[in-house]
Amino acid sequence: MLILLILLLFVPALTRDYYILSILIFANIFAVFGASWDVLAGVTGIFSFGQAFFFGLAGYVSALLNVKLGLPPLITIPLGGACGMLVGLVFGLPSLRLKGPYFTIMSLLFPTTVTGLIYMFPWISGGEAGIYGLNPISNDIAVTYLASLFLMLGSIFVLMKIASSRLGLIFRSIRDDVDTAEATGINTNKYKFLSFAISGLFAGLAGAFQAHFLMSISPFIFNPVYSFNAILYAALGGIGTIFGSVGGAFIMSFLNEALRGVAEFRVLIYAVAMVLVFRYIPEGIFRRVGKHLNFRLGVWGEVKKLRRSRHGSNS
Amino acid sequence: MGPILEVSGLSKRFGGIVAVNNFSLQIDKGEIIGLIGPNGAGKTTLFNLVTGLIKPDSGTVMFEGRNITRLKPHKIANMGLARTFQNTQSFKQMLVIENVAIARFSERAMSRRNGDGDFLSKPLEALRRVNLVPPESNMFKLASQLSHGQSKRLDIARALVLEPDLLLLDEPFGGLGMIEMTIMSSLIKKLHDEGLTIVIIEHKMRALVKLIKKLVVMHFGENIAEGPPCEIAKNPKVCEAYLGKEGDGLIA
Amino acid sequence: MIEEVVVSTLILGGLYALLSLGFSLISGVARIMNLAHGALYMLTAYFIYSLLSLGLGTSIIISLVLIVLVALIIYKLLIGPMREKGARAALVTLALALVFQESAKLIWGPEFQSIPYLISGYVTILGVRVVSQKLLALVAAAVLVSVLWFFVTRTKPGKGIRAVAQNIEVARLVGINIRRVFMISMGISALLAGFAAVFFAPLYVVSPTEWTILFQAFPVIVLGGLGSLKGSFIASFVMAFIEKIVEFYVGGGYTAGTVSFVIMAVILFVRPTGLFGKSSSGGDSRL
Repeated sequence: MLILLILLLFVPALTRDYYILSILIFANIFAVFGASWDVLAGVTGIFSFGQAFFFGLAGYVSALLNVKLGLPPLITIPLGGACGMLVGLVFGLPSLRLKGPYFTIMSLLFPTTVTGLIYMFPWISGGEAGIYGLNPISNDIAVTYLASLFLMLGSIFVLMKIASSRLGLIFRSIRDDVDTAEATGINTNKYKFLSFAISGLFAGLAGAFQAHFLMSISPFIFNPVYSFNAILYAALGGIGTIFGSVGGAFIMSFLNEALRGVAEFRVLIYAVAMVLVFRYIPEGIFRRVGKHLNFRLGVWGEVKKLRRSRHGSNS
Repeated sequence: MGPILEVSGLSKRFGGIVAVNNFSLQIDKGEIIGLIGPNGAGKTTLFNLVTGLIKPDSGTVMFEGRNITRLKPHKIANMGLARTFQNTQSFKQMLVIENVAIARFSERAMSRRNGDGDFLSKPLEALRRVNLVPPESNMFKLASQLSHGQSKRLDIARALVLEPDLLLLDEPFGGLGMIEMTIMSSLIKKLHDEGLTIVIIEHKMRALVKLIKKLVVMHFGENIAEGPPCEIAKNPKVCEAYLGKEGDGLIA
Repeated sequence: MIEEVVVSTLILGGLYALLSLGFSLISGVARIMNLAHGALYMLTAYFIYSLLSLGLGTSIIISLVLIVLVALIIYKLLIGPMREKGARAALVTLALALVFQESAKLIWGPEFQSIPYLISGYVTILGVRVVSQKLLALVAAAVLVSVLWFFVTRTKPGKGIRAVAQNIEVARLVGINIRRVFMISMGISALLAGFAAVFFAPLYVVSPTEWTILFQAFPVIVLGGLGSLKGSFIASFVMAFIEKIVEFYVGGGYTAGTVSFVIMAVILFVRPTGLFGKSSSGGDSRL
C-alpha cells in the first residue's frame, strides 16, 4: 500500500502530460468525495443519496468567494470545507427525525431542490450556465496534481484515523444498532451530527477543490448521478473501509479513460457495472479479495494494540 | 430513602391496542424482582417505556427520585438505569471487546474514570465478571460469532460497564440450555449479592423463582398481582391470566 | 383564469396519481423504493414509439404487455432478492434507471421524440378550450384509479396485496401466496406506469431522461404518505393544484417545481409520514 502511495508522489517526475495528470487529479478528488460518503454511510450507517449537496454547495460558495470577493483558492477551499461542514449539520437535522425511506427521499431531492433555487435566482448563482472564471489552483498542472494528492492523502489519513478511533467505534455502534447504543448511554443524535459534519467537511473540500481545478461550476453538480458516483467509488472499494474509495475512484477513473473509445457506451457500461456491484458485491472489492483482512478493517485502534500485545506481531 | 424506581399510572396504546394500562409499581433498592405475564402482556413495552425508548401516553416514571418519564434513552442510561434486550441486540459487526467498550464512552462511565489508565480495563473486567473471558480469544471474536448464551452475557457485560444502580433484564434465560442457564443464574445472583437492583422479565418460572423473592404479574398491560411466588401461584386472577393450565406450573 | 387552473390541475393530478399510485403500491408491498419506476413510464412511451408502424392501437397493446414483462423480469432479478434491504435496493434501482436511460439514448437517440395523440382536436369545458387528449387522459386516469380501487378493496388478490402491505408474516400465516402477491403488485405497478405513458406521454416529451418524472412526483408521495394509496391519490391533486397556482400566478419554469420540493422538505421536517403514511413506530400501513 505504502509503495503505491510513494509511486503516486513521483508521477509528476515521470510525466507532465496534462491529460494523464488531470485524470489522476480527478481520481484524487473523487476519492475524497467517496470517502466522505463512506464515513457517513459505511461507518455510521446513514445512507445518504445526496452527497453532491455538500460537494456542490461548497463548490458554489468557493466559486462565489473567489469570483465575487477575490479570495484566493488557498482560502476559499478551506472555507468551502467549512461550508460543507455547516451544510452537513443542516442536512443532519431532518435526518434525525426521518426513518429509512423518508431520509432516502430527502437526501435524493435536497440537491435537486437546490438546482431549482439556483435557476430561480440566477443573478447570484449564475443560473444554468453556472459560475466560471475561478482562479486555478496553480498554473502548473504538476503543482495542482501534488496539491490534489496532498488533499487526498491528508483526507484519507484523517478519515481513517477517525474511523479507527473511539469516535469511529461510537459511529459503528450507531450503524449496527442505534437503540442499543442509546441504551448504553451514547447520545446518538450528537454523534450523528458529528458524522454529518465530518462528511460535509471533506465533501466540501473536494467540491471546492474541483471547482477551482475546473475553474467553473454549474448546477449539473447537483444531479443525482453525481451523488451516485460517490456511492459507487465507496461501494466498489468496500463500504466502511474509507480507503476503499481510493481504490474505487482510481479504478473508475481509469475505466472512464479506457472506455473513451466507446464514449456512447461509457455511461451505460458504468450503469450496468453499478447494478452488478450493488447487487452482487455489496461488500466491495477489497473485502472480497481480502476476506481475512476484515479484522483489520474498521477495528478500533486500541483493540489492535491489545491484540498485538497478546499475540505478537501478527494478527 | 425512597424507592429506586417508581412507576405511576403508566399507559401506552398503539392504534387500537392498549399495551400498558395504568401500570404502577414500586421497586426498592436492592430488590430482585421477577416480572411475569402471558405473552403480549406488555412486559417488554413496559421496559421500553421506562428506559425511554418509547414515550408513554400518560403516567410517570421516577428513578432515584427524579422524573425520567420523557427523557431520551441515553440520558436515562447515564443516570444508572441499564437494560438488556430480548433479542440479544449486540453490535453484530463489531468485536466482543468493542461491544463492551462502547459503554466505556457513555457519559456515566467517562465521569467515573477512577484512574483506570486506558479504556479497556473496565470492559475487560466486565467480560471477566460475566465469564466470557477467559478464554481470551473470546474478546477478539465478532459478536455475531458468539453462542446465544454468550451473547446474552455480553449484553449484561455491556450494561455492567455503565455501573448501573438498576438493571432490567429482558428474558435472560430465553433460548438457553441447562448449562447456560446455570451460568446465567449464578451470574445474576452474584450481581444481586453485590448490591445491584434487578428486574427480570422471564417465562422460565423454575429458574426465575430461584432468584427472586417477589413477583409482579402483568396482564393486558395491567399490574394484576404482586407478592412472593407462593402467594402469586394461588392468586385466582393470575391463574385466570394464564388460562388455568400454566397456573399450576407457577409453583416451582 | 381560475377555470384554466382547475382543468390543468385535474390533468396534472391525474398523471401524478397514476405515477404515485404505481410507486406506492410496490413500495408498500415489497417495502423498497423502485427508483426505476419512472423508467417504466419512459420505456412504455418508447415502445409505443418504435411499434407505431403496426398502428397505434396495436403498438399500445404490445407495449403494455412488454412493460409488464420487463417489470416482472426486473422484479425477479433485482427487486425481489433485495426486498427489505432498504437503501441498497434503492441504489440498485437507481442504477437500473440509468441503464435504461443510457440504453434509450443509444437505441433511440438523445433527442426528444413524441408519440401521437389518441384523439385530436379540442373540446370546450366550462368555457375553457381543452385539448381533447388531455381530457381523455384525465378520464382514463379516473377510470384506472377506480379500477385499481375496486381491485384492491373488492377482489381476492387485491385484499391479499393489502394484507401483505400491512404485515407480511401474518399474511403468510393466513396462507397468502406472498410471491404471487409481489408479482401481481409489480405487474399492476408497471401497468399503471404504462397506461400513464399511453395517455399522458403524448402530451409531454419522450426522452431518455424522462424517467426522472418520478422525482417530480416525490412531493406527492411524501405528502400522501409512503405506501398509502389513498394518500397518493389525494396528494396528487393537492400538489398539482399548488403547482398550477404557482405556475399561473408567479411564473413558470422551475419555480413551481422548486416550490413543491420546498413543501416536501417542510413536510419531511414536520410530519414525515405525510397524511396517511405508515406511522414511524412501525404500525401497519393502510394501503
